Amino acid sequence: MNSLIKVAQSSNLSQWSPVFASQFHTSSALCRVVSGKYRITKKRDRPLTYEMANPPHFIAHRKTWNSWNTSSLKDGLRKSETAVEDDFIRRFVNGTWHGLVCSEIIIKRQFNHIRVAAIVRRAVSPTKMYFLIGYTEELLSNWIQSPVTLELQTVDSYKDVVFKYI
Amino acid sequence: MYSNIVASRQWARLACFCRYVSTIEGQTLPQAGKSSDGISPPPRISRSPTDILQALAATVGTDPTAAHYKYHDDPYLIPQSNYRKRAYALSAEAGRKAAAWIRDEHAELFTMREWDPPMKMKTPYFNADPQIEAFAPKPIYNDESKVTEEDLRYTIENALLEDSIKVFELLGGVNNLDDQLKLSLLQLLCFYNEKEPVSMEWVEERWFSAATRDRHAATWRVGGLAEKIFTAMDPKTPEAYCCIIQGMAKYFQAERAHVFAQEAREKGIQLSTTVYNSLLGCVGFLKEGVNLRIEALKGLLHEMNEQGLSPNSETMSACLRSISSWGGGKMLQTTALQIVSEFRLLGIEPTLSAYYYLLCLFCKEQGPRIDILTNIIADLEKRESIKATQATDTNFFITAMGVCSDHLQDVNLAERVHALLMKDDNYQLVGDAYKESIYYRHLVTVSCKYAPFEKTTELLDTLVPNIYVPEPTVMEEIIRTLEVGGAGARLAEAWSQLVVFGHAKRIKLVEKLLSAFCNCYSYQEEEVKAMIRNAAADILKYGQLMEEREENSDRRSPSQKYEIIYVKTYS
Repeated sequence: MNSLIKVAQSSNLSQWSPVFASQFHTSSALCRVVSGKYRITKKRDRPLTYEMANPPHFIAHRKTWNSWNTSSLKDGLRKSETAVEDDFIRRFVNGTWHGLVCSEIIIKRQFNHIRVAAIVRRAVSPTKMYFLIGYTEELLSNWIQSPVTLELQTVDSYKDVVFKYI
Repeated sequence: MYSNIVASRQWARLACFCRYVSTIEGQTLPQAGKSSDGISPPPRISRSPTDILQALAATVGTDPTAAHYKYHDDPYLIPQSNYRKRAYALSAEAGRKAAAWIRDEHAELFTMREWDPPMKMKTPYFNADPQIEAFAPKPIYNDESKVTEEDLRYTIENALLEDSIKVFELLGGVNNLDDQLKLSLLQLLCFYNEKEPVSMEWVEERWFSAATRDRHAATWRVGGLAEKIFTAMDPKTPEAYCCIIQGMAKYFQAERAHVFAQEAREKGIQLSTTVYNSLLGCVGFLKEGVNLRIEALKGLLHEMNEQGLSPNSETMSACLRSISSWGGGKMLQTTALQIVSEFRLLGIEPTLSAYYYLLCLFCKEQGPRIDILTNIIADLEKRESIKATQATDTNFFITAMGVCSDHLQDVNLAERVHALLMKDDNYQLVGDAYKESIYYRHLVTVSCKYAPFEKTTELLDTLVPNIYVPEPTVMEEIIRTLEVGGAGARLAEAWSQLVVFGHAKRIKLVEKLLSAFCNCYSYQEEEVKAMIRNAAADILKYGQLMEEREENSDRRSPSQKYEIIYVKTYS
């Protein structure tokens, strides 16, 4: 990621660009979508959550979006900012609740209010969990400067969120 | 083509703006007189931004079966005992404090967005719209910081006491300040007695702070910064005098407060009503003996009259506070009633604090039973709304319920008090966690003792465990009530409640429960009998478990007792 930005910022990008532009492909297009899909393992022992078990084309059919906001609508505001903030929130929560989060992190925005939902393991005591809740909410709201609320559910172990093994 | 689109968009914006302005214009027209067509719309009522939210919230009652909203709605995270309630709420706040500390330590990172394009980087740019003041980093003051008077003003306005003293020292002490700022610093110091208050931001810490009873002892910091600032002030304004006298009176430096008041009077400085209120509150420290004290109190009131100051409701509660702290007896009681009727003549109704002091004066634990509470409640029920004006107002409901429970032993009155507390926004008057739990302790006790059985169980079902977790003594009372009522199923459940609330190790309580089992067992239905047997078996198992644990720590265990009672249950 960093190196990419460096390349983008470096001044000799312009002299490279005609080279990129002149390339064209003659081979036939490979219409194989692989992103967001998981390979079947030999032993059939890869655990998948419900969210992982459904490939992206099932969004809005069998599963929903992980980020809920209006930035991508017509005349939506803060498109890139929202995306980067969401990624920051995901990384922050995953790192702060280290090894505890066992689902995707859902981020819902309403007005300036950001609601962050996740499923966590009951691996630490409730007291510690409350400390982390307070810490995460306060730090994120100070960082993004709008109120952030955590909406957690707890499960006994990671196995509780496994939908199937492939 | 492109410019066309832009133009149309701007036109749309202009039109939007025009509409906006026209609606505002339309709304502000009050239409006082009748218009030509005979329709007269009512004048516009101005609303605050949260009025609609409050109206919506008023349509939904609180759900007593759910945990308080400060706890996470998840079975693992809902607290079941008093200890856990406290621990969970305070650890969440500890997390908040940790985050706030990071924010203040690294304030430079929290002012702009790092991922903004480079051109925006140079100007501080706030992420959020609207910008929220509370999320901005707070300044840290230490010996190296460069400060101005603006900083001092900021710290005083936000009641950051230690910071304001630091800034004051950095600015070079008393001589380098203008008078207005000096006065406001003096006011801050006097109000808090130079002790940093718990910030308003930490709600839970304030809610759970250990209940310290108002100590009637001189805690005023003698020779502290406040006094230094006061002596350095020249000329001494009436405000400065008012401020130092009130500070001393508040922290019971009574004699010096009165000396200062005398000095001010001799100099011909006009003192305010609030100064007299605080002097009235500590007048008892000057004299010994009830008669002399009442004389002094009346003397002060006469003095107020001579100065042409009109008393307010706080004057009454200050008088009653003094009187109630001088003990009991017929004489003080009649004086208190005289004061109340005098103020009634002036059109001043007693506040909750005044009623609290009256209850303290009339309803002594050992004293004769005097029923003034009925009239007080009748008066409060008539009022449209009860507003908290003083900190001591929160003492009223807990004391009133205590009087219902111990003094009058009247469950109907207790229900009226409870209904009053539940009305509108009155629940704010419950005080803090400590007061709340004592309030419910009294309510549950009086209900268990004197209310019909069905009503008591209904009350318990709503209160326990989310609003109130019974303490061991109350639990004993509840078990007795269930035993008398012959509710076998509820008794069996009481055991699991004991475990959850953390009372299962209290031998006396478990014995009570077991004997209740024995007494009820014979006439229960088969199903309930099985439940009771299971509970008893569980108690035995728990006792053995405890015994095993205690063998390691080498202590005697009471499980033999369990076994005897257990056998009795089965026979």
